[in-house]
Amino acid sequence: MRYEAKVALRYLLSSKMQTGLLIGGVGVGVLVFCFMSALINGLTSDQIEQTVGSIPHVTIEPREQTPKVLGAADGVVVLPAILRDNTQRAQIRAWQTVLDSLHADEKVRVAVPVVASNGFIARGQAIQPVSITGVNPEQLSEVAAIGPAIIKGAADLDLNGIIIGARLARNLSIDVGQTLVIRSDRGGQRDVKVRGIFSIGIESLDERVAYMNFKAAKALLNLDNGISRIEVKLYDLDMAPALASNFAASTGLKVTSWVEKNKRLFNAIQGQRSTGSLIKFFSIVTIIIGVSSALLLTTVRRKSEIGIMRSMGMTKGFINRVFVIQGVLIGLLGAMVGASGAFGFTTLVLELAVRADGTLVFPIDPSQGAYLAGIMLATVASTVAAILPARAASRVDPLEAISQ
Amino acid sequence: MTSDATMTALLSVAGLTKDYIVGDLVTPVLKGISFDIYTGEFVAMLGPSGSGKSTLLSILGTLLKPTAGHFFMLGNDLTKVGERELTKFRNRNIGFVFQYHHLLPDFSALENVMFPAVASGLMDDVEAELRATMLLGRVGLSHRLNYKATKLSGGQKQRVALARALMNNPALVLTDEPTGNLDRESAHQVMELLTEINAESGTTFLISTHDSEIASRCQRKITIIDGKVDSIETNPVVQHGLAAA
Ligand SMILES: Nc1ncnc2c1ncn2[C@@H]1O[C@H](COP(=O)(O)OP(=O)(O)O)[C@@H](O)[C@H]1O
Ligand SMILES: [Mg+2]
Repeated sequence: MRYEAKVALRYLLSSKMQTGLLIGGVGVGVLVFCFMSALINGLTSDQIEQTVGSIPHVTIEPREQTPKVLGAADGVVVLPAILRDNTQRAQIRAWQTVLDSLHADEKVRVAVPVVASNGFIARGQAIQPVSITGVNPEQLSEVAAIGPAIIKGAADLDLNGIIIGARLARNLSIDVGQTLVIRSDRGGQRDVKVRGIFSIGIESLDERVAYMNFKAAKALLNLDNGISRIEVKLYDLDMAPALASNFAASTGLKVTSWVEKNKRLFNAIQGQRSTGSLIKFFSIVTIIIGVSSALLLTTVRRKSEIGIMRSMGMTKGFINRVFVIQGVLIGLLGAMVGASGAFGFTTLVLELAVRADGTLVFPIDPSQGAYLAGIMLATVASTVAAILPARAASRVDPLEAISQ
Repeated sequence: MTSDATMTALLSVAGLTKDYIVGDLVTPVLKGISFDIYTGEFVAMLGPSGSGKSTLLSILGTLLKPTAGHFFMLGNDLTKVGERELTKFRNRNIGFVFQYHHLLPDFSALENVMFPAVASGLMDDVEAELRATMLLGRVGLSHRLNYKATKLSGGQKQRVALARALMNNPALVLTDEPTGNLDRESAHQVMELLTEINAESGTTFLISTHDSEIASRCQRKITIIDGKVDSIETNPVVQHGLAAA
């Protein structure tokens, strides 16, 4: 093996131009591979962050209640009509247990108990529908980043505090420090003071959601023993569907992952990934074709040397390895050149392609360039590309080469 | 010594034939060749161009399969040995010097000579370098050890090729018109070397040649005409190899 490597290296060094071009070619292939990875992954992360960043990865809710019909005789069709407002609010009662088992799961980053209901905010004559959301003050920013989005006041949820979105504040012409009345959909009401105003940039949040202290909301909504839902964030959001179905099975609750709630985004991301994979696939195919044809030419050019090595008693395997090693070396060197080039290039794009407002033209992420995968794939590709020329070389008839 | 009936031959050729098949055309080139060569001999193979000398050397060098017949070397019927075994046998026991040197152009003179030993793992680097240096010294190229093969003159290249053929101390060196491509001066040098090395170390040589000067230095002359052994003559004046030592 050692001597095969020596011959391979000598061959590569003896035609520096060809070797340089080959390494460059593999490098460009890997650069495309890594650049596409950084771009597609960056884009995907960006899209997911924009959507999923402010929503839970998994939401756990009570099952919709269907009242049991007792004593219906055979053949009698009973059509139960449910008057929602007269039934008890849907709620998770054993929520502490569910919360504990969520916290015990290592995939779970955070699980936030929420009490929520529709309601209204009244200020003078103006009335606006809101989605009342009660959370523990310290968990306010765990699901949607409310804290950092505060544009006025503070992210402060004492028992009498409320935090509302910028659009709602504008619609009601209300400002921090002012008092208003919040009413639940069942008639309960409470005086609260506006502590902060946030702007997330998502219309439904900025216009509809009002955050209250968990305990205050519980009292307002008459949820003494239960909560409305648990919002879960995971470390890896791709795990959401699997975790959701596991939890649904083990708790009997209604568990929904972000994927179900954002099918279109999910499909768009899948499509993007496939496009990226296709481009990456072709960059690898290009490497194989390039390396293979160049090495095939080398075997033709080296024919008489191959013949003399065979006549000196070098095995077919020896000749084979000389050429496969050339493929490995070209692949490895080219891949490293390409990967470092891609890292430099994506970093440069990240620095240069910034709009005036500070947002990125391409949401490229140099840290997601899949460099290791690129290097390994290109090396394997280049090695595979060498197999055919190596076989051709090992089959050279020594006699034919010598009598030339 | 060749007449010593108790001695077994190093190389024993028995009824070798070779047909070349080109398309539908079968051309018989060797038509039943038989002879023996003994250890330490210095044998010339003569014959007009096209008589089949190169074909015979290729077969004896295990680079080409005969159509029929057998040849034995060191007790092995080499017509019955598989490809892998033959490759190893060739590496250990047969040295070649062709009309064209066929050196590896990207390697130095020293590396070329070391190649058959180190590439096959027969010797380690130190041992091989020592022996290759000695051999290059023997062929008068001590001052060219680290020259790239391409930087050497024709005669020098052929002398490197000779040193390379001797590297693994083969039982038999086959040379096919080794001086055919050289000027008179270089040809003379190479010839001197062949005879001297045969005399010093007892290496067995089978040399195909047109050159009457080489032929006159050989102990025996095998003449091939039209694929058959025409005559085998012993030259009583010439004493080489082990007999002379
Ligand atoms: N590969 C081959 N295919 C067909 N015919 C060949 C081949 N090699 C040699 N010959 C023919 O075989 C005959 C003997 O050639 P060769 O062994 O080279 O003779 P020599 O070395 O004595 O000149 C010639 O007629 C030559 O044309
Ligand atoms: Mg010939």
